[in-house]
Amino acid sequence: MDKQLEYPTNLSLTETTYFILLSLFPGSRHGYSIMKDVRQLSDGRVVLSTGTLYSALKRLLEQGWIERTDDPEDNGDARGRKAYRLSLLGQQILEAEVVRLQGLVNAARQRVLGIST
Amino acid sequence: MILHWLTQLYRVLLHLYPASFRDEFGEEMLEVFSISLREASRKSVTALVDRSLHEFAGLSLSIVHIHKIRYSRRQPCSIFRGQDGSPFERSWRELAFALVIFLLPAGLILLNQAPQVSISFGLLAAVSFLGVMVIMGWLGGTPLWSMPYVGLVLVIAGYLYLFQWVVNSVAPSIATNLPGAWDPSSYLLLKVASHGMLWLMLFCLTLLIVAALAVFNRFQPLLIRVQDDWTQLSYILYGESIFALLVLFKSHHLHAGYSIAGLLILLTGIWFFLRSSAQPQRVLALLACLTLAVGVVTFDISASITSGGFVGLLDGFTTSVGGRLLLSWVLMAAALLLPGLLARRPSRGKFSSSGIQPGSSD
Repeated sequence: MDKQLEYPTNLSLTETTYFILLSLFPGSRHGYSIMKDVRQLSDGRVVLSTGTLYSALKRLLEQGWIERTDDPEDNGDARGRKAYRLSLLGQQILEAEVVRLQGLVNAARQRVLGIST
Repeated sequence: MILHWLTQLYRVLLHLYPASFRDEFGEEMLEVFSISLREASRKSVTALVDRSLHEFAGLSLSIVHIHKIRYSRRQPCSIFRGQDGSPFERSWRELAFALVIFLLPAGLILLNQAPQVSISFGLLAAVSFLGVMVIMGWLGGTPLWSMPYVGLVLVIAGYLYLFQWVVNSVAPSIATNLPGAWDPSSYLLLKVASHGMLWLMLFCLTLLIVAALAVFNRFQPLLIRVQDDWTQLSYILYGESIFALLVLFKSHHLHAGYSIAGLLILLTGIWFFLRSSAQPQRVLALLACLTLAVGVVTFDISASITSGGFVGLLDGFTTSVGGRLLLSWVLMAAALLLPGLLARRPSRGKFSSSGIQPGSSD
């Protein structure tokens, strides 16, 4: 697709959104897998409930940041379990957020620790 | 066993989500919840309790959040859509503001019925509320919802000050000049004159104030709206019918139920007015509901002063009381129709949220 996806570059993601997007970065995951991964990624600080997770997933689906897909780990006996993966827009937003956070950290390192990057 | 019951409880609580959300995610959520609890139960009972509390708290917040989002995205209510398909879109909040003016007096009547409850505080609160709504409407450029409030304030001020002055200074001279003063027909004529004066005075007062408001920039959209759609003047005058229903007929000791029924009928007039797209339909809605409301009140009064029932209603019209009620209705109806007769030019017959129609630069 030649058309460049447009997204706001000054987004500041909430911690929950950030970790959900980060959790989906390598590939698709189903709901419970996202919950576990978010907990692990945040060192146990962000513990999602099922309700919170699916509210966030619904919003991300509507924003077009993630997509729904068939669960690759579904062995066929589950009722067509769904998984979620990052869309192209979601990837770009996550990358932009990482750059933004990197900028914040760099600024803090320069000012507080006196380290120039 | 406890896991089973917790899952069943979760399944039931999922029904608190909007149906669309539940259909999309309900099964998945139940499955994730179930796995989550199983994992926690393998660790310890404390972990299970902790996880359960966390899940149910998260579920409650999520339900509120999803409903909040759904409400904020709600389409304008369909009752505001014009019948010709051209939408007249208003929010539910505006509709509520427009209707509460009729519910407020109904609430006061109910409050008055309660034993050992002083209505003074309720009256004070109602008057304060009325003042706040008029000020809010003024600050907002007199939107459509605020117009009945303006009408009600006009009629209260007009009745308390102007009308009393007119009656005290003019009516005695009319009464003395009537042939056969204080016989029933002369008394009726005096009532015709006084009621007629009230409505004529209120109508003139409304016109004067609308014209005066045009001087201020903030109110010019109102003048443009009234010029463009004369039914909005009828709409202002319709707000006065609340007062007419409750105060002019008060001497007849209306029953609370009939008064409230009359107010609710008046309320439906606003409803139909706002959803109608053609000007004749709008005025017809106001007129029909005013007629019905007066009819309900008349039935109550007629039943009280005679033997009651439909026979009493018919008999009531033969009395001077019935005649006066009929007269009041005629004058109120005339006041609603008068703006149409005075409209200087044919209007385009559409509402506009900004008050100025597209292409109405003339």
